[in-house]
Amino acid sequence: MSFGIQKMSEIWYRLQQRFKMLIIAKKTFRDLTTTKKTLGILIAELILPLIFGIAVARTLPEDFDSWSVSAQTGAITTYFVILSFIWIAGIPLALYASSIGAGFIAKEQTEGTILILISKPIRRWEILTGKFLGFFVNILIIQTISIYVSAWFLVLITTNNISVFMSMLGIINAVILYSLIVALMFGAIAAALSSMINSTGKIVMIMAALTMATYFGFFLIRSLIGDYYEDYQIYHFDIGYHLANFYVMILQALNVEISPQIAMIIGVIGGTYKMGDVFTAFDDDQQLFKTPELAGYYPLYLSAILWIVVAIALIFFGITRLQKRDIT
Amino acid sequence: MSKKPKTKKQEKIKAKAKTTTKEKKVEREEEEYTGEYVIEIKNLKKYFGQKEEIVKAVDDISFNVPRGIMGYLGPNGAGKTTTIKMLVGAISPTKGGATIMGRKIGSIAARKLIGYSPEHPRFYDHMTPIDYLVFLGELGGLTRHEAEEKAFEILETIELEQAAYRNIVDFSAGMRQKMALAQALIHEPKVLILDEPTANLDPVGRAKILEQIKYLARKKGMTTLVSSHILGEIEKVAEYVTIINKGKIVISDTMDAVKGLYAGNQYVMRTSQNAKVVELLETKDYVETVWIDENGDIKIKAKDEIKLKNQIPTILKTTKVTLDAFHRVTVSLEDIFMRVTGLDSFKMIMEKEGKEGEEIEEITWEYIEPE
Repeated sequence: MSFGIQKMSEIWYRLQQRFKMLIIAKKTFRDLTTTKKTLGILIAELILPLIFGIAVARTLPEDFDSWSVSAQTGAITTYFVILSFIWIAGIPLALYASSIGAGFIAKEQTEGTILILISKPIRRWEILTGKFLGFFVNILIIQTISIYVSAWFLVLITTNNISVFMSMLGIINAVILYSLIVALMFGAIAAALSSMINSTGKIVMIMAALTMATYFGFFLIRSLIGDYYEDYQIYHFDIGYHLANFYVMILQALNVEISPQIAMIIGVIGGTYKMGDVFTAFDDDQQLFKTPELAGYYPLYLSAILWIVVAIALIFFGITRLQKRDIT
Repeated sequence: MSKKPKTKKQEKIKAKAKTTTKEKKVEREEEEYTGEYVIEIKNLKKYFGQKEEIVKAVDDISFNVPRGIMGYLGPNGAGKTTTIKMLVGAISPTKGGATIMGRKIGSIAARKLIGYSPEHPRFYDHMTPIDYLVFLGELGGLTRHEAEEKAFEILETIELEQAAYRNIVDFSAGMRQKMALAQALIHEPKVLILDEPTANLDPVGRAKILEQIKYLARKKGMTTLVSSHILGEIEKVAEYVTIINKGKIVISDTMDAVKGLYAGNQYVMRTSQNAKVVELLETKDYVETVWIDENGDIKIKAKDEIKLKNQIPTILKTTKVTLDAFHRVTVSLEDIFMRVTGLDSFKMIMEKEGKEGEEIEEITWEYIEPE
């Protein structure tokens, strides 16, 4: 037994010495996973689902408990997907990831701690990637907890039926995956800026503006300029649209049924669905809303690739910048 | 002819043996480095800014650091910290280069060999000294267990063991300076590069740090390049001295040689009958001038130093006096520093004007190139 532990620690030591980013990752993870910080982000992410769950429960029909499990799951999933897009895997997460990424290098530089760090035998790119790795593990844990707990809140408050929760596992995992992508993308952009701009505050401001543009800015532009949006091909630059496309792509890939309500919300905020259809797609025969058509400016996968490529390119740019930069 | 390995396990063993051999080879190279100089700097330049507003922080400097302690001195803005930051890989040279035990500055291999303490050390304040030192020790190549042991050992040596589990944020300036030295030592470097290691310390703290530096150099064989503005301290610990001014090296040699150079050909002599000796020396062709100074000692300015030294026994025999002392005039490092950096020029102007009895209405701080 002790031989096994000894062997494992030897392997871990060799691995750490080969990839020193692991030592940085370990420290970053420990720095981020303090009780105060973890509780802070969990409370920020869970407070709205709790309130939302209570509000949803009040609007449900009285006989909701007598509905079939699949019908209950369908209804709750709709609320959950909307909540995830805007909140649990949305604005607070993007802001959290941005604020962490912003400090990767800029904070070390302004606080002067980087000078000692770079005098040690570690490559500069390993400092940035190590921090990113530590952040990724932290966000994986936080998001897994907050997404599972939010889903459980919704189920508990609305039906208290464990079967509904079990049926939602697929969508829960899809949301976890999507939230990781959101965190990585916003974190990557902030980290790249961090190796170019010395002020953490400035980077946080830029990232907050980017987050607001993603979730609200282009929604307002789309609403205000109407047809000009298509005529002038604004969608090329609509980061909210591309992110919403990404979300829909994940939902489709994991066979999550996109209800008309889900499509309506994502359509309004993200512009993924045709704006006109969002409010008029009503099936008179079945007295139900129909799922509107995709706007289709970009294939879903292309929007996903665009976000990923931009984030990766920025990270590489950040690393190159850091490699060449004088640390004074 | 070697046989091919038969199984995957054998291949793994062979690969592992190869890696271990490679690691041992690197370690052996470090142990066996026989070069005369530990740090070699050649035509190193660092310019900041653009064309017209260019600042030549370090302008084509070359000097070598042998085994032992070298003091690296210069007025503020002379280029000391810039040189040091290039040596530790924080900033890249505009031109030229340097090696540390044969390894190019800034490389991983070079950084493994050095322990660096910056002028204004900053730490992760939320961490305890133990956590911080273990983290840096692991980065330096130690296992966690080794790093922990080493961290406790260092904290005990620098008398911070009582604060091992306190947050660094609560540390005084002196404790932080000690921590800076501790982190530089954690991965057992071969070379210490210390930028103003005694800044912010009281005299007792300064003395302790200097003792540590001396101990590390003498007992552990660590070559140390130390910059400081407290020249008296450097004079006490360093065997070598390099002075930089306006980005250029003004002088670089052993402490004795530098002092010898600036003491020139002047000697101090004390005998039982100084007047008698002076009378005799005045007649000798190898003596330029001789006089008795304000302390009552004989001061001799020699024309031919070797002849003077050789003739001392004859002079003593002739005059029948006993010799109490004979040595070259002692010049302090501060005197040399002031002279080579041109800072003594200001003093000279004022003294001159004062002697003439003129009232000095305005002092202009004009720099005069030293001869």
